[in-house]
Amino acid sequence: MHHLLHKSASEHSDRLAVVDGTRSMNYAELSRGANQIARLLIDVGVSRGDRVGLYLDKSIESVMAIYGILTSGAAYVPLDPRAPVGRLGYIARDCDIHVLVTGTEKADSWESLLTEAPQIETLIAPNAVEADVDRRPGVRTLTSEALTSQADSASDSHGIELDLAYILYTSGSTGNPKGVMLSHLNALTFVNWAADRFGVRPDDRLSSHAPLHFDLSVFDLFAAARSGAAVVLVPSATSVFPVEVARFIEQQRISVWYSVPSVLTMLTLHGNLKRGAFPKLRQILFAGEVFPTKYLRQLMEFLPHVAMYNLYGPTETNVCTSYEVPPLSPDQTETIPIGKAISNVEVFSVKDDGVLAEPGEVGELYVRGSSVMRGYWGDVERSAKGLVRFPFAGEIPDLVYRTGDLVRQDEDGNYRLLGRRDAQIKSRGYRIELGEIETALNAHPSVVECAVIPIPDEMITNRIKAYVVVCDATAESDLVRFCADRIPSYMIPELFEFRDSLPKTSTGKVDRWGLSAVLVDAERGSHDRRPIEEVYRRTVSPGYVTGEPDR
Amino acid sequence: MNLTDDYPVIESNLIDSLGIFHLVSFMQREFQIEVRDEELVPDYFGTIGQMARFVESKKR
Repeated sequence: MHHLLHKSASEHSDRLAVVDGTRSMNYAELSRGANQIARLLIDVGVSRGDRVGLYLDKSIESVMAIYGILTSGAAYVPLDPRAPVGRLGYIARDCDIHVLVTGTEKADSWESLLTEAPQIETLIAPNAVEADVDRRPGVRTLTSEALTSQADSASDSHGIELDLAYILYTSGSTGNPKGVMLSHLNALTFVNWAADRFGVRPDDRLSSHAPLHFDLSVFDLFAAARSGAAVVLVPSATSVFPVEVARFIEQQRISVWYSVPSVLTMLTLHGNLKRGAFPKLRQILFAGEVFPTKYLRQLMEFLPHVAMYNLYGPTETNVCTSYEVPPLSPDQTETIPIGKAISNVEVFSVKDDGVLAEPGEVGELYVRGSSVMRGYWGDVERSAKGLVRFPFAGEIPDLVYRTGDLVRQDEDGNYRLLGRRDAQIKSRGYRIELGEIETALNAHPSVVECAVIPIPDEMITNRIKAYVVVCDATAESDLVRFCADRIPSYMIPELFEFRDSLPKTSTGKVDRWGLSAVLVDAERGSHDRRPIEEVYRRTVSPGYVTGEPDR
Repeated sequence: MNLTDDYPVIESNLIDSLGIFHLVSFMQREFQIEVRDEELVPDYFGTIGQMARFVESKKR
């Protein structure tokens, strides 16, 4: 993957590679900087196959570090700079990170992270200067001086495309995040397809909205590098304000935008858009959650010159299907399909009886091909549940990924997403295992039992509600604070309800269905403005469905 | 963390894209004001002090 950068650096050395606010860097500079990081990493003992953590805000430095890590032959592990240190410490221990590339903006958290992950031996802070750094005994801290003293010429590590390129940690149902291992080939399968399919050119300017620990960022960075295009980092404060997002797209002359739909819904509803806005924009790609059809249609009316694509794929498969959105008729309410398989990837759906689903039948979506992950880091058992033997293989054994997503294929070949088989939900594009939230709550000494359920929401797919039984006077604010030390903010329940007990199924498990029904009753009596029928329909049908709420 | 009037609530990620809409809807209800889309900008919502000044200017 790093060859995409170094090749563009030789072909388009003067072209803009990254724009970060008022700072920018061309391809030659980015490639040289990446080489220096690679050489420094090798100097401190990093070798092919090692995992190097990334713990810094998205910036020119973090982009350079990604390429530096890949160039050294190691795999990068992006740590969410906003996540609780306890969770990051778990990740760092889990995949045995010894070297961390970080930044002064995270300096206040170094101490606690190093306590959580004592095996970390080296911190590299490209934006720090020697004189300003507080050193910790036993930990080597290297700054910009150590980097600039390295040669900036290519250091050729002999890697192959099956080597790990990065590990992305996603929510795990048992309480700890799990590390999805992706090889260079996995990522390139998607990036090569995407750059060709969307015709990314050297004069394009791609937005980079998603955080680096979210796999949407793989398109932004690497499709740009492959094409010699510029990637323009969206400041995190900008995405909070829809009019600022609009101004960003306009002023930065973005030509390809990629984000979760909720950002685009906000832009549509509150971005003050005029018809024909963003003349430079030619494509909008979205992924990660369902784009409500009525807002998608409104956005398309504002931007008739922009082609829109729905991309689908769990982190384990990169992107595996895509759908170009045709003009939507005014009375269409049905959700758009996730489309058909991308190049060099095969998808199919399997019914409960193990038989291949025909068009019109509901089945679980399976993915086969070189975009499918290598497995979960250090977790043979979970890997074996996700990666299963290709059920329709001939003589040659082959592994395929079971997505857990239920789909139905239309007569025209496009797949439609219907829901999940398990307790995994989406909220603002983030993938969340309800079990991970329950594990966090259950760790609180006053919590007797709890159940976390999703409340379907038009804007952000799901809001999260916790039903809790406590043995004392513990308040909601105590639980929120407790969660904040354990799980990322997007997982913290927005609503809490304290109860004396929770409804149980005949097998003694918490009855999430019973709770969902209570929820519908409660909505009816509340001041919530959403139509009840809609809440009801969305609570008990697709989104969070099918028989087995418990794993 | 000290939540002072000039604490950068957006820059620090204390308030995210969902939080801001809860906040605006609270303001509109509580202070009987209308926040227009073009007013939802960092200059008015970057800190608690800025929000207070914004609400006061709307009340006048």
